[in-house]
Parts: sequence; structure tokens; C-alpha cells
Amino acid sequence: MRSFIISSSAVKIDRYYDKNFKELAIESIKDLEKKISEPLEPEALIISSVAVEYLDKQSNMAGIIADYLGLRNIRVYRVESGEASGLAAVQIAHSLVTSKAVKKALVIGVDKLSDMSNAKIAELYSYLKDSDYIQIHGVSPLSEAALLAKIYMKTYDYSYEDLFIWPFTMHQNSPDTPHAQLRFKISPDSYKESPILAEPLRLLDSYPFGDGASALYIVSEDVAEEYDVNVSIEGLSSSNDVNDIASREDLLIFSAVRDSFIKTLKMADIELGKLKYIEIHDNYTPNAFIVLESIGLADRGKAPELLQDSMIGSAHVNLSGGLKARGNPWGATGIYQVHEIFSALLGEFKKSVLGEIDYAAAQNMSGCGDVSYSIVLKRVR
Amino acid sequence: MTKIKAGVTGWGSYIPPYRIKASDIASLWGFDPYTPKAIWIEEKAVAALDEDTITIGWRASKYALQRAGVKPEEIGAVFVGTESKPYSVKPSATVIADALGISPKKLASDLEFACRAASEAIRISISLVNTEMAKYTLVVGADTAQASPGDVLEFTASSGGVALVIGGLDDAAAVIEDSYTYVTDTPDFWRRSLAPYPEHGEAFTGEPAYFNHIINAVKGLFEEGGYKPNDFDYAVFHQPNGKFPLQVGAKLGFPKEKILPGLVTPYIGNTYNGSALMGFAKILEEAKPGSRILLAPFGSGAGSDAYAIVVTDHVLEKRDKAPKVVDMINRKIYIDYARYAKMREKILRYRR
Amino acid sequence: MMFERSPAKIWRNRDVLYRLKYSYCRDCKRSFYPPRGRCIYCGSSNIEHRYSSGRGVVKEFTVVYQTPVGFTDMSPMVIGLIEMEEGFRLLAQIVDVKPEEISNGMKVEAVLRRMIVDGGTGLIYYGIKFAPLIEKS
Repeated sequence: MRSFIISSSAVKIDRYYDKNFKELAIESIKDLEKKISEPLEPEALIISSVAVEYLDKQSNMAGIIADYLGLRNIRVYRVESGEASGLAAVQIAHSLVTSKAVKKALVIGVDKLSDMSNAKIAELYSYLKDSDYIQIHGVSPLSEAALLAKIYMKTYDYSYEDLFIWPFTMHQNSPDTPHAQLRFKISPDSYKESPILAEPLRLLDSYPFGDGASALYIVSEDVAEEYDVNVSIEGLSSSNDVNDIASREDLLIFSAVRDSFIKTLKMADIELGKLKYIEIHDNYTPNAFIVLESIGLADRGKAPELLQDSMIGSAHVNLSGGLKARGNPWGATGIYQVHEIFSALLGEFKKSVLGEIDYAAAQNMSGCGDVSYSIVLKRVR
Repeated sequence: MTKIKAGVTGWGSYIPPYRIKASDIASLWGFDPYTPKAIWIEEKAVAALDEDTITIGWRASKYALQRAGVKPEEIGAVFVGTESKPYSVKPSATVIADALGISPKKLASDLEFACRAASEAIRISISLVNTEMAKYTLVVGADTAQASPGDVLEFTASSGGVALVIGGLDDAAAVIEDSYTYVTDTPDFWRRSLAPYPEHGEAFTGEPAYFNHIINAVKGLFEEGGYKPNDFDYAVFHQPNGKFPLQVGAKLGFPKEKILPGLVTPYIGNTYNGSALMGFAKILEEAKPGSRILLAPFGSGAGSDAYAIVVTDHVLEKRDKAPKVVDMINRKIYIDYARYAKMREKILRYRR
Repeated sequence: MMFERSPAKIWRNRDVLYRLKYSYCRDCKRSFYPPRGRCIYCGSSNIEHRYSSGRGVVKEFTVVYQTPVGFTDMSPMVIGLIEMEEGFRLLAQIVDVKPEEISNGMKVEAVLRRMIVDGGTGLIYYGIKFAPLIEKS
């Protein structure tokens, strides 16, 4: 059973002090509406957000946004799966459509990380870890990624500078991503001026904190036939791992990422080699390489060497600039990823690099591979 | 004749590694540079921001239990003597007890009597053990003492703690032969409940307080127990600085060779409820079995205890079961006054 | 009321955080922390909870500058991957030592410290951090 994406949109990731969560969410669907040139009449509204309760003191966000969108008598859901909320929300929409519960589902991801101080955002990010027995030690995905960086470097004999190829590449890509937060190039040695977050990771190894909102319109096959362009969701799955990375037997492969991607490819009935464009969840530099290796785009320890002009194996990766440069507004990130690969399949994003492609994928995870979702899209028309 | 049938089954101490030099304090606040030498204080120990009386007391207690060889379930009472309680209301003893796995069937409380509260707990413990109301007790003397910036007390107010497991005679490392306590209402040093730092009467803390009470307590012990200075191999006194113990010891007829082994304040500062007990713990780690120790803690307000304690053979097998006072004295990380002010929370800031 | 953290939550967690309680699977004989009711390796529920001796070794560590609210007092905060003598591993703070003097393979012991202080009037959350062993001088 398939579901189809017929439109998407995204706001530029930035600091929107003048807009609250609802307003940003509503802003994000304006373009989407324009593209389908008729009022949106979803039967379900799915909101993906991580920080809305803490930052906006708001529960039942989906109900509230439906209210402000003027939608009545529809299903509303608020989905949260840590940083992977975006693709989790897409999964819910897909399930509602393919189970014939609804024909049209509107998915909006929104988070505003500029509403509070960096230390507060760092605190909220640390709540992705078990608050009773892991976060209480001061642990957050940042310190985990820093430890993984050290272990990765020692195991595969890389220096910090060798790994910096990732942030550098991301910033090569973002200047022509219209919705990216950081649209500037960096030099290969710009890490020297970048403050340390948790050594060896520096600011340039991490995603920036910003506000973002992105939306997708997901519909059933018969609805999709009424539209000119559409793209099908061919594969969509997810997997989880233990929350404490210390207990993992193999720290340098994210089993949740690997298993989720395998299941997704199987569902889409394609080989990895058919994917020409993949957006992966690079919240921190070492995680990018571990994800690439977990998916199978490179053998263990080889990703930094094999990455060339944002290509690895047979795929272009993170042409948007990834979480590093496009940004990572937590709950919205997965939606941005789908917006990007969807637009690329339509020839509306990075066409000069990709040309015409048939398949594209995205991988959205929480923390350092605690849970991971992946999706494969196929261009139908 | 003594009715005491109790002893020290195990002991442990803890001194944080951070040190600030007395000369740095003198030079910042414009003291005459000779001041540290005049009171004999070289440097003092400073607790980290995530330490307090409970964490220090816990660590000393853990080492005491290791030496005692006693299971936590056998402890029938936990007393914490301190004047720097993390909570004004909520006992430190319960946190330490639960963190050590001591069972709910126990007595527990925090005691306050400036620097001698833990010593009072020793006396209470003797009664509990003698009457078999507790097989063993845990006595903790720990402090993270505060002094007003720029006050002469700042040279010596330090952080550290000692814990003693008090039990019967059979497995005691040191037997308490006799004890005497002398207490009066003497306002030499005090802190009102909402005041952050204590006040003191400067010279008044000397003759009418420290010397008067220690001398009376020790003389009382000598008379009732029939002791003379020569009966003791060591004399450990409450040590607010390096000079007072030598002075009171001299007045009581003790040569400095018997006092110096238990004198630790010049190197780590005055750990308040840990003060005399720290010197005592150090002596337990060096003395030959059969040695007799005079232990005389003092607390402002004011009162002093005097104990005659005899070291047994058991001390030999217990000594190496935990870190020693000298190991901790020699474990140092030097900090400057700015870091010291940060760590002792003397800088006003918005907590984040 | 000015405090933010639930007293009940702090109270519930003290057994694990004060004494480093961990899980031992009687079926596959492996240990893990945090303690859970099912084995994270073999899925069995034949689990026993034990208290660690507190002795461990540093396998890797990092120095954190971007500290979350609640931990800013500890900045720069050292987070270590500690392997305990019972065989389980955990991430926890390393204290009482300058970061430049920490090395992989260093022996550490679990010590009770303040984890979080809930403002000026709230509770103090105590728990385990790791400190180097005190050497004989």
C-alpha cells in the first residue's frame, strides 16, 4: 500500500522572535497551499514537535493549531520521538492513509530553539536521554557524540582535521539551499576559530539552534491521481536501540540506523545503489560518518576517506547542507528532509547536481542512534 | 573507674584535594604578610561546588566502614556533627545512611555544637553500645566551614570530615578508657540563623573559651581517671590553627613531640567537626598498639571533651584498608582566590 | 512553592543513584546500567539487582563546555565512559582531577556528590560521580 506526497513547503530556518509556534506552523503551509492551488482540506493534522511543551508551555498542540488553521471535525495528533519526530509523524500520516482511515493528511513539523538561552536548549536536548539515570549524570547526545568522535578517531586512525571534511562539505552545499539557516561557506581550517562544545567537537561540528517549520501533504492513491505531480512513499520504517550508548556492544555502528534502513529498503523493494540522493541526520560530525557506514554507503571507518564532493558510494548525501548548515529545528527536521528529497525528485531542488532521479531517501534519528526512521520516495509523475 | 566498654571499630577521613595558600588570602585582603605564620597556617582544603558536608561525611564513612569490617545493616545509629548542614531542616544523617545501605531500623540525627558536635555523638554512642541498644554506631564529623571574606577566620576555615564506627571492645582498633565533658554558656563564636558567616570575639575565643574548656575537661579526666601527662603518648586537641594546640598542650604539661603528630591544621586548615578527629585518625594510622592517646575536641558556645584512648593490635590490620590522612594531605590541586571564591559560592550570581 | 523538581522523583531514584544499583541477568550472565526489568542483551526477565563495588576504569572521556542548565557549576565538565569491575559500563562525571591529568585506563572509584541543586529553596539531588583513587603518598 502506498501513500503519496503531493505538496510540501518550508520556512527558512532562522530566528523568529516575532512568531510563536502556531504562527510559524501556519506560515509554513502557505507555499504548500499555493502549489496545490486550492484550500487545504486535510482529514488529519499531525504535528511533530519536541520542545513545544517546555518552550511554549503548550500541550495538545495539534488541537490548537487545527483551531488556528480553521480546521474542524478532523483527526489531530501530536507526535514526538525525540529528534526523529519528523519522520515519525510522516509514518503516522502514511499509516492513516494506507489504512484508509483518511485520504488526506497534513503533517507539520515545528520547533523554535531561539526562544530560550543556549544553556536551556542544551538542557532540553539532554532530556532525550533517560532522565532518571542517564541525564542526571550530565550526559546529553553532545557528550556522547564527543566520546564517539574520540573512539572513532582512535579506532580508524583519523585526526580531528580529517573529520572536519563533513562540516566543510555541508557548508559548501547550504548557500544554494533557500531555506538553510547558515548559508555561507567555511574554510577547511575554520575550526580553529570555532569554540569547543565538548572536546574534540567544536561549534562547527554541531547543528545550529534555530526556529523552523515545514509541512507535507500526504494523500491516498486515488486523491493523488487528481494532481499533476506526485511522489509515492515506497518505504518507511524505524528501529530503536538501547538509550544508554555505554551498554552498546558496537559503538561505531548505529544498529537502529542500520536496521531501520534495511527494513525501509526491503519495503521499497530496491537496492541501496538505486538511491541517488540521501539526506542523513548529521547532528554531530562523528555521527554523520557512523550513519553513512551504518547504512552501508561505506565500509567501517572509510566514510571520511570516501566522501568526495558530497558523494559517497553511488549517492549524493546532504545536498541541503544537512543538520550542520541547513539546520536542525528538532521536530521539524525530518519534515525538512522529506521536503528536500521530494523537491529534488520533482526537479525543483539541486537539479544541477542531481539531474533527473527516481528514488531518494531520508534518515532521521534521535541523539546518537537511539531511535532512527528512514523513508524512500519514488517519483511517479 | 570507668564504666565504658566501647571503642573505635573503624575510622575514615576525607579531605578534598583543592588547596588555597594562606599567603594568597593575606595578600588579597591586605593582611600583614606575617599573619599566616603568626597563627601557623600554610594552606587549607577547599570543597568543590558539588561537595558538601553530606558528600564529605559519606566518603569518610565509607572508609570507616571498610576499616571496621562491619556490614551496614549492623549500624544502629548515625550521627552527623556539623555546623555547615546542607539543609537547616532535613538531617544529613539520613542521606548518608541511605547512601551507605544502612537499614531504617536506626537512630539518626544531626547535632550542632560548633566544632564538638561529633564528639558529643561519640559520648552518646558509648552509651548506646554499652546498653546494647546499638551494636555499632556511625559518628561523622564533617564541615565545609564558611568565613567572611577578609576575616582572619578565612585563613583556616576549611572543608573535610572524619567518621568513626563505635562498637564493643572485641574488634576495636582503639578502646575508649575514659571520658569527661565540660560545657558552659560562653559566647565566643556564633552564627545567627540567616547570617551567611559566623561572628567571633577574636581574643575572647582564646582564654575564656578554647583554653578554659579544654583545660577543665582534660583536668577533669586526669582527676577522675587518675591520669598524668606522662601516661599519654599522644595529645590531640581541637586545632583552629597550628598554634593553639601547642599552647594548650604546653599548659597541660605535654611536650610538642606528643602534639605534632596529630596537628594537621597548618596543612589543610580547620575542618571544624573534623578538626581534632582528623588528628586522631592520623595517629591511629601511625601509632603502635598499646599507645595511649589524649583526644580533646572543643566547640565554641562552648564545651570540650577529653578522652583517654588506647590503641589495640587490631589497628594494624585495619590501617591499610582505606586511604590515610597523610595520603590525602599530600594530594593537592592548588587554586587561586578567584576559583576559591567561585567554589565557596562567595560570588553573587544568578544560578543557572 | 519555588522549587521545580519533584521530591517524589528524587526519592524514588536514590537507591540507584546513591549506591550505583545495576542489573545482572541470571540467564546470559551479563550486567548493565541503568537497571531494568528485562535483559537488554538477551531479553530475559530473570534479572537480579545488585549494588556495584564502585570500582571502575576510565575507557574514554570528554571535557564539556556547552553544559546544560543544572550542570553549569561543573563546567568544564568531564564525562567519562567508565567500565565497572562488575562488567557493566556507564557514562558519568569524573571529578577531583584536572582534565589534562585524566588518562584512559585510569582507575576510579564511585563517590557521592551533588548532582543537581534545585534553586535556592528546592532539594539537593545526590548521586554518584567518579574520582581517581587516592594514592599512597
